[in-house]
Amino acid sequence: MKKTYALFLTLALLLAACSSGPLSGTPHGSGTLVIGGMYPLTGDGAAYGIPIQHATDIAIKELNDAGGIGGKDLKIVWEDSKCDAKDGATAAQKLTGVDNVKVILGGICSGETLAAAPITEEAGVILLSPSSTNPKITDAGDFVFRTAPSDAYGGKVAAEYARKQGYKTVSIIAENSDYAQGLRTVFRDSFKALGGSIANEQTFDPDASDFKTIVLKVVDIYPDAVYLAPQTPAKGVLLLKQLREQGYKGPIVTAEVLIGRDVIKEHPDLVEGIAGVEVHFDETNPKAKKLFDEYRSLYNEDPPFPAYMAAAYDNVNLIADAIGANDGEIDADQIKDYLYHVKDYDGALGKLTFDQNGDPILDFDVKKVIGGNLVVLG
Amino acid sequence: MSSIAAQLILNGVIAGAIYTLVASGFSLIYNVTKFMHFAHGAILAIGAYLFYAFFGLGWAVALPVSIILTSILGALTNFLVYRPLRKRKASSAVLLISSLAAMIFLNATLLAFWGADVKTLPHANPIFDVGIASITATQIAIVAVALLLLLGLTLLMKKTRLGKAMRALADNKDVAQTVGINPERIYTVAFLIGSALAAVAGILIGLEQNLNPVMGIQLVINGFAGAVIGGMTSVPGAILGSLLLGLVENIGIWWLPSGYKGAIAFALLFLFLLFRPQGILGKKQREA
Repeated sequence: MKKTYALFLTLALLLAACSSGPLSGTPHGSGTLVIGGMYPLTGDGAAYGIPIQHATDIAIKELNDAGGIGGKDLKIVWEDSKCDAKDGATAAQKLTGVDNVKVILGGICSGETLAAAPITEEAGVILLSPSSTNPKITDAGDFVFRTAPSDAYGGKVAAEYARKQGYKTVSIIAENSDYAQGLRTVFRDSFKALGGSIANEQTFDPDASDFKTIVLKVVDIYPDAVYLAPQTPAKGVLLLKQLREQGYKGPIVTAEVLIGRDVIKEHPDLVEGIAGVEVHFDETNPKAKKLFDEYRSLYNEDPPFPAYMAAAYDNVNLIADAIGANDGEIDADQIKDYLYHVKDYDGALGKLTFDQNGDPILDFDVKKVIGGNLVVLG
Repeated sequence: MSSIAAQLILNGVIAGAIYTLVASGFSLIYNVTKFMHFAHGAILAIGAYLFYAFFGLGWAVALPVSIILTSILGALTNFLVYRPLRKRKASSAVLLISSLAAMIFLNATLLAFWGADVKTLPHANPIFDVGIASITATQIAIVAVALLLLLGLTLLMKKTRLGKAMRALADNKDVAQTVGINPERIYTVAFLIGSALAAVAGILIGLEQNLNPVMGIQLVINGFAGAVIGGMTSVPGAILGSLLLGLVENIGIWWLPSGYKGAIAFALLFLFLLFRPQGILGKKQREA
């Protein structure tokens, strides 16, 4: 009896393994083309991951509604990379090893992308991020591309702005993540090179939520300005709240997280007067306008991170164009060559060209929250 | 500088009070049932989310409803997860693992219902500047509740029949049963009280630090560290340990780089485990 049961179980398992084969692998000659996606879909990082996933889905739907790529639909297998290096590596392993995809869209947070890059590079799989800005990604590999500019420029723009405002001493508070630490080093080095001095640098862990003593060390020195580099809006808002509660009333300079449209809408008083740095992006160009109108009508909110969402939308179309140019066959080497030759691609993000490292050639804007609105300072 | 020192100590007390809120319920349940109920962290988060769900109806409704529902849910967790395992004479290790499973399950449930994004409880939170330091209304409430818990739980454990029954059960389950104490009934009561405390903790922490589905994990780890430092066998000890942990962490990072905060907490825990494993107020465990 027991033997029969075991035999039955083995057969059932075998059957399950066989039947799931074609579902999870790349379907050759079938009606769909499968690529991978790894975004943070849970946790604090989901504040980016979910809206960017929505923008990606809009692009996929538009593409498939218009006949797909040579009659085949494009489909994404999603993995949750949780804005965490460890989960980013796991997601990349699963997508390259189990799903056998040749293209992965993502990661969103720099830590995910940096952890996934060695795995995708080894497997010869394209990794295309819409939003990872850590400077190290520039050299992360030949198959690694992004449509967000490196913070090697973003942190420098913030430092230049701070010096132009006449701030002589600045304290830095940065989260312990690849993205935020990248910003911290670039800002520190650029600010010093421009003749400013760094009063102190504080780092906090992603799972911390009590920053009172960290900010007290900043309040004690009371620098001309504070540079904040949180990884996610959740931590950024809490950090800023506690910084103000502990008595710092001076100017705040930051990157893009705290000037996210959601953050300004939900905490207008808290973020009033802070200056952030964001990729230069004309939200009124026709492709972006179409994307955001669609987003508003589907999800009943303004796009919270417009530049990253536009980039994610463009990434789908870039990959689709590359596959289309190869008669609907997914070949990572061909896509890689195709992307390196992209010049002035007319996308939702604007005109896009990749440099020899797979980085986009894009500019940054300094924006300030004035009266609850985000104003471009140039 | 003196005002900075005062603020620093106050920050430590507030952090300690937050750990206290978590440690009190956790250690109460541990004391009675003798296993680590790590799902306490998830129960705490559920308390906060229930409060969030009823927040629109006003404090007078949201506060009691969320505390009572969370309390019942905690007892239900005991009834559905731990009791069947105890019936099969499962070891504490098995119960510990099952508590982790329960925690993941409850966290995932929160995620499914409310999503991953951070929720805030908008409320007026005036800052009181008392000359040398400043504190918000929520933080005053946190410290006050922590002190009340220290007092209330000490009285409960030492003076009431229930507390005596709990301690008797913790001391020797078999002997306690022979004098007519029903363990399962006391376990249920411990989970009811402990989970109500978790709800109070979740609500106050939610007001102070916002809500997310996994908010309880880090908190229960810190609360656990506080409980071990103070003495796992003593509920007031767990509260004192948590206060000490908060103070040491905050004063420590005044001199050390702030990234060492977690390291300071666990260095303190390690020192206690090495040199005073029974904790501040705990009794030395007799060899079984």
